[in-house]
Amino acid sequence: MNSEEEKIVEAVNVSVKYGQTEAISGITIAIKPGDYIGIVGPNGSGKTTFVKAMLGLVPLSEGKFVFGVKPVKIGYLPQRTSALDPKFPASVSEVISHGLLSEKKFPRRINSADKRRIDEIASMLGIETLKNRNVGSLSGGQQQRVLLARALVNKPEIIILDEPTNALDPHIRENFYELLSKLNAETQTTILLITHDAGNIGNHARKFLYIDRKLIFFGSFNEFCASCEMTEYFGPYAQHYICKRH
Amino acid sequence: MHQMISELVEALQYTFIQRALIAGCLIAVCCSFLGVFLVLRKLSMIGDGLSHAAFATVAFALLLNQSPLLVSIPLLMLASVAIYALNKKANLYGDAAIGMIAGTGIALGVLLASISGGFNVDLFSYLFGSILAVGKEELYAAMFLCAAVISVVALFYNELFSISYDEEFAEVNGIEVKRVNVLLMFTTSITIALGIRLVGTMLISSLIIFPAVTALQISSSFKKALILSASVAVFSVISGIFAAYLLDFPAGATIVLMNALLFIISFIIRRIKS
Repeated sequence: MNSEEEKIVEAVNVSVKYGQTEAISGITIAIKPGDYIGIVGPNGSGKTTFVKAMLGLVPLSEGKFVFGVKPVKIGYLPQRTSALDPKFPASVSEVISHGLLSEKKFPRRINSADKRRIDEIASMLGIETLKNRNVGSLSGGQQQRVLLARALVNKPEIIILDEPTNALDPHIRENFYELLSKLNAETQTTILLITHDAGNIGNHARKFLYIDRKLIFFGSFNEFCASCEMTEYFGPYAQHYICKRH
Repeated sequence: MHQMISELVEALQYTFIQRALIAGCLIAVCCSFLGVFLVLRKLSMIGDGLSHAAFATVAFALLLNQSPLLVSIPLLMLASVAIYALNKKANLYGDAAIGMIAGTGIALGVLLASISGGFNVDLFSYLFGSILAVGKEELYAAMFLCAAVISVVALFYNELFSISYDEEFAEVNGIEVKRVNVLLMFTTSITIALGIRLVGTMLISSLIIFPAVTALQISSSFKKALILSASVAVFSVISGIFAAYLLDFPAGATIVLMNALLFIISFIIRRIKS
């Protein structure tokens, strides 16, 4: 297998502008199958813009994303979970079923095989008993699992999670991270996880992408922690904060 | 009681009552289905905006001596696209775009009515509805167009549901959000054009909003919400027409008040449950 085949997606000189403001510029990275990447950066640094550009939700002003040879399925868990209407009358099964629509042709119908797949993913994430419950009536942690199930139900090769643990308390947050690590280890699903939790992500992700409108660092945690260049960039304390628990 | 039942049985013998019931139920089902999507997307006032615009389209049709339904449908479609474009492209708040189209519609309607010699009986009948005057051709048109609207909702059910719940996720999932949104706007325009005959331009938005909000008070899943919304809408039309017949009330207003009553009941049920 050559290096080209190993890439599941490659960002080539990716830039995005909102009006005249450059949100991100010139980001070039190659993501391999099975990577678990923590995406970190200050507020407004372009982390969400970067993944939205990858998902095709915002147009690129320059550069391109090159996906692997076959069509790559991407699961997505958006940032604004709390912005979803808690009064929306959707059952857990109905919400998970949305994740299967990408594979359907018109008219997109959910069949019995799909229902079995929904049961399977609900069971895998420990929410099988909640299937008929209204999503709005669940706790934050349970809702997050439902949305993760929606992102995973069509067996994506890549899953992108945008600050999924923001609204969760520390105990549930750790459970969620463990769930992702298990998923990554067992199914080789590539994970891109945006987080503010820079001090903790090193315990779970294997690679580290630091963006501050441009690429600051991309590589393994060991490389990051040993990099003198990064010590110079962050100062010794910030680098230690990120690396201490790794 | 016995006398009331015999009066209702007698009412059912009249062709105009039969037509009103069939057309009313069909339009109510369309309104109730679309209402659930619009209310959940916080676009429920689009019905209000388009119904005000419909005042202008009816005035225009009457000025040209043409069928208000045939003139209204394409013009309301254009108005709905204008609301959508103003909302998305001009980056206006949704209700501001709706308010602008509604205001322009009323102003144009008044202007056109003035040009055609002032407000006449026909224009008034479209302001407040005249369901009991539904003709044979209008009934056939209602049957055909309602079948089209219900088919669109059935065929695009999962797309509409997914976009209503989480538009961004739907887009990532390959759903053509813009096209489905325009389709929703078009079906709403057709339904409004049909519905103004039923309860008038002043009250049609109630037929879109009330059944949906009533259903949303007590539904735990999306399918249940749609079924309940349609049931509420149909019950309101049937009970409203019969109540209007028995009590000699205006039918359109009675239908809307029935909807309001059912909403109050569902609201109380929700309060008791919680």
